[in-house]
Formats: sequence, structure tokens, C-alpha cells
Amino acid sequence: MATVRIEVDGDELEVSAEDSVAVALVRSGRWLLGRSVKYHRPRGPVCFRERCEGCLMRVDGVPNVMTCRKPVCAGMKVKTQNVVGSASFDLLSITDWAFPKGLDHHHMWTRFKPTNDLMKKIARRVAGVGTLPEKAMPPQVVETLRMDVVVVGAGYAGVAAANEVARCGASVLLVDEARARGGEARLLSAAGLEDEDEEQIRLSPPVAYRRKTTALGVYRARPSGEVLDGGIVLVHNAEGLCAVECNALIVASGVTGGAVAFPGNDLPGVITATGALVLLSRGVQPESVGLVGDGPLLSALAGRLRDLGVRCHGPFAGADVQAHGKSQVETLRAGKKSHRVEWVVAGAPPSAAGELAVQGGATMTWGDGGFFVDAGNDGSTSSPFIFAIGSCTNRRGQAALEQALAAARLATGSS
Amino acid sequence: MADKREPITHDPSDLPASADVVVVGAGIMGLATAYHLAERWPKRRIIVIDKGYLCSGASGRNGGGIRAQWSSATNIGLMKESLELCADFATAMGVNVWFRRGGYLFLARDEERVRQLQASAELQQEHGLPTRMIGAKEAKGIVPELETRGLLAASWNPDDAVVFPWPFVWGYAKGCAARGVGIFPFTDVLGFERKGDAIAALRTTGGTIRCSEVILATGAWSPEVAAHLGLVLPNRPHRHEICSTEPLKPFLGPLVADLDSGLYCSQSMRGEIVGGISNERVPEGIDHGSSLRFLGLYAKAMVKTFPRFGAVKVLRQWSGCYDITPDGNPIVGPVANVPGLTLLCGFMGHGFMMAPIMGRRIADYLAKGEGVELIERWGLGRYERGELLEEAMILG
Repeated sequence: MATVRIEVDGDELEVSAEDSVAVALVRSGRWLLGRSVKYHRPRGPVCFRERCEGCLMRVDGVPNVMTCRKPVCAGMKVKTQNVVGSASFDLLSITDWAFPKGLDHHHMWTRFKPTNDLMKKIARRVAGVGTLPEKAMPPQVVETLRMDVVVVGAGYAGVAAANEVARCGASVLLVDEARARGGEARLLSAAGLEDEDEEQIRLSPPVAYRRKTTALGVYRARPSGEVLDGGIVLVHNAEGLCAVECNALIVASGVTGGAVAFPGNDLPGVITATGALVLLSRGVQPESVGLVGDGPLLSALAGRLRDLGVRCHGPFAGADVQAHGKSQVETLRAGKKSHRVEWVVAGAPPSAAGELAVQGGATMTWGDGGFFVDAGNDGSTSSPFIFAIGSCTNRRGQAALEQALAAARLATGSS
Repeated sequence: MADKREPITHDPSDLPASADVVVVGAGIMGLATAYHLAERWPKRRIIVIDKGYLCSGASGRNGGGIRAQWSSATNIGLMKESLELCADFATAMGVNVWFRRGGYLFLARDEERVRQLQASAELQQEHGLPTRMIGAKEAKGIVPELETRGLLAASWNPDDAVVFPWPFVWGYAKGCAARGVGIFPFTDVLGFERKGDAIAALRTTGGTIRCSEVILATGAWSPEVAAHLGLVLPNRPHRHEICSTEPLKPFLGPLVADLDSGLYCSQSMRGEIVGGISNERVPEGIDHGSSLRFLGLYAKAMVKTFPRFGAVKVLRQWSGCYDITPDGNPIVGPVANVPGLTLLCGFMGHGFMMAPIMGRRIADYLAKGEGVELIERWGLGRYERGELLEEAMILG
């Protein structure tokens, strides 16, 4: 296993060259990566896929970097943000201790002006998470592209849709934030829960594919102000920004796991089921784990963990547990018993990563324990420009694949 | 410290059948007015209605700038008072608004702008403000991140401020409720009933309210509401976009603005850089979308002005609508052929900062007949008479 040396809060650390910064830190035993904004409670990575705020650190002079997907590189300088002192001994955590029932910042100290003024001075001083980046960035030219269709999300549904668009003779750009295609299925296979179906992620040329690329937003007018029938999808990766003008956008962005409410659920080491999958896929496993919540993913995960020889406690209902620990989770109390755990995996029904679709004019509705993008069996939404397919519309398996094909045909005007 | 909070707005279905005064628009302007009117008219039944919810309009979408740097004596005088009202708001109304006097810095990149800022600064000094013109070097001392190449001078008032807007709305709403003013969100105006020229009732989605005294504090929606009265207002809605960044530790003291590009930005109490820029190419009418054009204009101007901001992450962009008038000054006061109607609109995107003082002034005018001079200056009739006003210090 190739390794590199990085610097974390002034200390040198040897890490696997393939790890992201957050995974490298967790592998080295450090879960506490930062402190919360108001109470300076310990914070650590929860989702491991850029959908929470737990892994934010300063990396090479840039604040608020999501370290869960930031690849390590030799000589990288990583720093904890938002502490007075260190990550483990943050003086400002006195706020948490001083206000055990919560701090009502809307109404606190409004009686007298001098104390109100003092309170405001302190509040401003402690606010903010990162400091301004050290360097000015050189100006970058925005790449512009013209495509018939853009597909966001290279899971099984997104790949099927992109391939079908190409088969219909239209141009298509497929983007995904992760470094490989396959979405949730790939994660399950990498974690050893399922076998990956290579066929499902094979791309038919001439599908253009960009990995580690985030779709930042979708707009219905050009920078000139000219309104489009289609739209522009703004995508971003390490090379920079690209504005892709297209006739249709197919959103296959998947879902994000819900949170389970229980005391101590914000402790570093309390992670989502997919977060656990990411760690397992990187060969990081705990000695003991507590499972909270329900769902097929959690049970499948429990089975896999047991196969790996991990001592599993639960699954327990969220109402029955409390997590305890100082700077990371140490025990999970369920009923009268207290279990020593390294991780707590909390699983709740997921909701769609539907922000992009909604920005483009689609709608989301609550159902089945989560929010999903409203889409027909053909992927059509309330916006003629936006299609949504797959798990973000609460469809999986064969139904999702059929929806993907139908959406691709509609998007290219081929049906 | 969870306190028991009473709801401060009513269910739309509880709309009364009659009222002495109906304020249309529960933004800061309408609520401040109702709040002060209720004190002067304790026995009258005052209600405020709004088609949306508290903070859904411009009052909930703006950047929270409060300044006295204006180019007319009227605006300077009003805002000088409003600034002090905002400074005392938290302790007077019992809710934190995060008022911070970081100052406003208006940049000048050519001689004409220097002259304009200079003239305004002198007028402000006559009103006792500490505003003064400073050179590029001193400006850089105040904002070290500022790119000073091309900067000739700046107008600097350290007493200007920024606030977080929402608690102003909550504070005035709470104050209204305490004074017996009913606030009814999700209540839209469908039309009016007249008795001759006078207003006899408002027809709303929640029912008809018999009422003869109506105040229109509807901002961008003013022309469409006024149209129900057969009144054609010269103001029109304009969409203005804004965005905010990741929260950074405090470093930016003032709100920095450039009147030529319309660029402005300030650092909120949470540490986010909040700002916007002028953009004429927006959809007509009421629109709350966000555009790529805005992001491009803003980003380019920001990086030119503050090179180190290039790597700062924008977290979200949104927009709000306000109404603009032909001469950049508000439209306030009675209307000749609609007895009972008082207009309180046309604030050019600066109604938020003016509301604390305007709420008082309009209440004093209606209840005691005071301050006629301002009402006549800003009256609707000036357009017919061809007496257009001016204002050079408008950001938007």
C-alpha cells in the first residue's frame, strides 16, 4: 500500500495514498475533526459523501474543505478550524458547558444596552468557521459546452439514461461527484455486501463522462440574459468550472440517508449507513459497533460487519439509546446496558438529493419516510426541461431502469 | 431556556369582518407603521394583511444595510434618525438584530464619482455626520483586502451599519401583537369596494373586510394592488439578486460599495459575505429566480475589488423584489381621488433601512397631521406636476 506524508495540525502523519483526508484521519484513530459553530461541540464526518458538515477542515490554506472526498497528497497541510486551543481542548466549548439547556441567541441579553453591545462583540468574535484563503486565485476561464442532454449521477439509472440518449443519436454529458460510476450499488459492492454488475456501468460511446464533477446549479437563461427553452448546467471539478447548455437535464442524483434522533447523535463516530459503507470499502473497520434505526441497508450492513468479525450491538430503536463519549463516541447505552463501541451507525429512511431538480423547476413531496422528487414513470417532472429518475424519485431496480430509458427517449424527443 | 412563545400572527380564517385601519403588506414597512399607529390610536382596530408569510417579501431577503450616506438632505436626515432607532431596536423590542456599526465605504474610480461623493459627504457633514472623503491608502487601511489600483478615493462613514433583517420583522410583529394589532398572513387582496371614490371594503382571499382607511405597504406588489383601485402607479417591480458565502472568521469591517457597478458586500454576524450587484437584465415583474448572469457579474466584480476572495465559496444565491420609481424617491401619502388610501411604497430597495423612521413619520402624519412637508415632497402628485426629485446614492 503506497503511503504519503501529510501534516495535520503541525504533526506529521503517514497515510495511505488512496485515502481521502477524512478517511485517513479516521483510519489513524482520529474522529474529532472540528467543532460546531455555536456550542463548539465535537464534530466528525458523518456521511462521507459531501452531504454533511462534519468533515470540514482547512487544507493547504483553503478554509472549509470537505475532507471526506479530498484526496491526500504529499506535503498537504491540514488544520482544524474554529477552535481556541486545539481540536481536543477547545476553550470555546465552555459555551456548551455553560448553557446545557441551549442558548437563545435571539433573546439573550436584550435588557440593557451595554451588556447587549458586549454580547454582540463576543458573538462576532466567535462566529465564522474558516479564515480567508491565503492566496488570491488566478482568474479562470469558464469552459462552455453544448450538449443535447446532461445526466447528473452515474449510478445504474443515470448510466442507463446516458447510454439510451446516445443510442437515440443525441449528445450527452454524464457527471458524477464520485471517482467511479455505480453510485450506491458500487458502494455496496466495494463494502462487500453485494456483487457489482459491471454491465450496468458500462458506457456506450459516445457518452461523455466526467468523474469527480459536481453539478453546482441549473439556470434557464444565458449570462447575456437570454432566456432558453433548455438551460445551462454549471458543473465543477478540479479543472474548473464548465457551463453546459443543454435541451434537457436528467437528474439521477440518488438519495441521502436520514438522521436518527437520540442523545449524543452528534458525537464524532456516529455515522450514516452509507458512511459505514465508504469506510468498509476503504478497508477501515471497527472492533465493535452500535447499530441504531432500521431499514434494509442497516440489516445488510450488520450482516457484513458480523462476517468481518466486528462485534455488533443492536439494531436498537433511536428512542431507546443514548451515545456517550468525550471527543468521540465511546459507549452506546440501550435500556440498562452500556456497550463499548467505536462507531455508531444510525440508519433512517433516506430523502432525495433533489436540490438540483427543484432549482430547475421540479417539485419534491413527502412520502415513504422521506422527500422525493415528483416524477412520472417516464421521468417527467413539473418542468419540461427537468427529468428525474431512479432512487431520487423513490424508484429502484427494474422500475428505475425502465424510467431511465423512458426519460432518455423523452429528453431526446425520440418517443 | 425554551420559553413559551405565543403565536404572533393569526390564522387567515380568523380575518375580521371589519377594521378601522387595514395595512396591506406585513413587511417591515407595514408592521412598523401598524406598530406606531397602534400607539397613537389605541382604541382603533388595526390589522395587517399579507399575501405571504412573515419575511417572505423583500424584508426577509435583503442584505441588511443601514446607512445615512445619501445625497439629499431629506434622506440624510431621515436615515440619521433611523440608524439610531435601529441601534436601540434590540433593547427596545427585546429581540437581537445584530446591529453592527462597521461603517460604509463607497468607492470612487473616476473623477465624476469623486465629485458626486464629495458633494454628498459635505451635505452629510452639514447634518452632523462624521462622513469624510479618504484616499486609496486610508481605504486600504480600513479594508486590507481591497485592491486599490484604479481607486481614486472613497466616502467613509464609520457610523453606518449592518443588521440581520428577520428579527426586525419578528420584533415589530411581536410589538404589534402586544398592542392588539392583528396580523393575517396568507391573505391576498382580490379587490376593493368603493362608496363613491372612498374605500368601503377590501375583498380578500379570507373574506371581505369593511374598512375605510387603507395603507399600502406592499413594495414591489404596489402597482398590482393599486390597480384594483383603478390607480396607475408609476413604480414598477424589479428583481434584485444576492448571495452569501461560507462563514469566515470576522475580518471585513465595513460594507463596501461601488455605485458604478452597483457592487456591494458586507460580512454578516455569522461571518458570511453577503452581497449583490446591479443587473438590468432580469425578468419583468415579480420573479424570485436566480441567474447565472448575476453569479458571473458578481464574481468578476468581487475578485477585481478583493482579489483574495477568489477561493471563497458561495453557498447560496436568492433574490427579492422591490419597486423602483421614475425619480429614485419614494411614493408616500394620500391619493387625490381615493380618500382613505395612504401609499407607502417606491423605496427603491432601501425601504428596509427607512422603515423604522417612516413607520413613525407616517403614523404621526395620519394621527396628528405632523410632517406634512415630507408627505408633500414624496407625494404621488409630483409626477403629474413634473416635480421630479433626485438621489445619487442608490445601490441596486
